[in-house]
Amino acid sequence: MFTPSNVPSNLHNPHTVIHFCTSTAAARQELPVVLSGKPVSQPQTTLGSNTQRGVSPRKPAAIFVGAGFDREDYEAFRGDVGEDHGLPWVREEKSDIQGLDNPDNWMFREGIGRVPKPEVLVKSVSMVLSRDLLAAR
Amino acid sequence: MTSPSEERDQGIPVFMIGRSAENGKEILPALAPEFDSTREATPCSLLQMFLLTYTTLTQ
Repeated sequence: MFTPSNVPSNLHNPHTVIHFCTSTAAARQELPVVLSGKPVSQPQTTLGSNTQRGVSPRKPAAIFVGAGFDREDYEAFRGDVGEDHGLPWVREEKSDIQGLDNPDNWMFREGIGRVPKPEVLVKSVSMVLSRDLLAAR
Repeated sequence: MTSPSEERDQGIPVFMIGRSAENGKEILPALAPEFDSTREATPCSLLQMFLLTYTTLTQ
């Protein structure tokens, strides 16, 4: 059983993103490969620690979906992936992100539009992962 | 002794979907584990690391 006391006392931020996709379409293709423990041959992005691990990638212990995806997209993706993997789903809601009412916390990304600044998202992602993963155990 | 990149790969492994790769480039390193080098690793903390790894891998 995982408990907060399992986290080493000298370890900050107990999560590692091993694989990153920017669309549920890409994730539908890549998540099954990652779950199988095999490397993704042509990933949508090269973000995540598995890209450094070559032929010995880590399998995920959780699936995180950011608040930038609407509820319908998330539910459809989750339904397509199914629950056979047995992993907890971690869903970030817009209400989890602090300070969205402040225009200074937003920025423009080419091809996407207005998004919260990374430093704002780091806080919410870290909080949501800790909250939901600890609650799931 | 582990390298900083090895340390960052020791957290609970998460598959993440986010809208912006550019944001991801900045968010992922900030989320990654960091060991506080000012604190000595004790037998207790080493046992905790073993338990964290074991419970993660056996799920």
